[in-house]
Amino acid sequence: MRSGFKENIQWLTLVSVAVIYGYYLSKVLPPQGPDITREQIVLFASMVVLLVVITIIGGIFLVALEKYREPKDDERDKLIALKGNSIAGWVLTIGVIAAMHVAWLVPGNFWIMHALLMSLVASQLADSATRIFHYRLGS
Amino acid sequence: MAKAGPVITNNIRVLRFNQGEMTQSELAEKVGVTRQTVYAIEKNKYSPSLEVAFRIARVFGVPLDEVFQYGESGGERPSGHAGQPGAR
Repeated sequence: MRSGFKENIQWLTLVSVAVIYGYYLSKVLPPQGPDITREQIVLFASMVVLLVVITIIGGIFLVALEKYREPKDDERDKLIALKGNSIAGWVLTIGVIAAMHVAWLVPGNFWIMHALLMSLVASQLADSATRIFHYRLGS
Repeated sequence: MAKAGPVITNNIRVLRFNQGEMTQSELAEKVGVTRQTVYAIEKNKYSPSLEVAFRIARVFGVPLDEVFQYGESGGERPSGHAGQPGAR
């Protein structure tokens, strides 16, 4: 089955989030101390800006590739989005509980901040992966 | 109980052929869904809402039951099902 616009957007999100935050984590891990440094904050902000730019440019590129304008969201898209959001919600919940334990056990703000960041990233990846799975499956 | 194949089947592929080989994209545009949704419905991977089912039938100008058929799943019936021998 040829992939559609909405599936391609999910691929763009999945790959860009994985690559950009993967790069960020590879630069900040292992930590230099218990707290976040100014350089790490600047790097994180740069990664967020880069992610936004890539998503916008990629989205414009994918729209240009479309032969005809698809409806915004049909009933199947909404159902698939609900499935993705449901899985992402569970991942985020588990991540936040893990981050609470980190806050309790580990001194400094580095690990609590990154536990929360990794939870958000894992949640987004789970959302996109679930949607792609259902688009591929056809359900 | 294991699911034994699609319960709702359809003739969309045949109806598209009879309409001068209408493409999935053309049908999708007329119905107001994406091409992927038409593909999923046609392959019996997604059962549309009643509203979308009626819109598909209207595009082809046929009654709903000429587009969609509801068949037996082939699964086990509950014991004591009405109309079965030994039901009472």
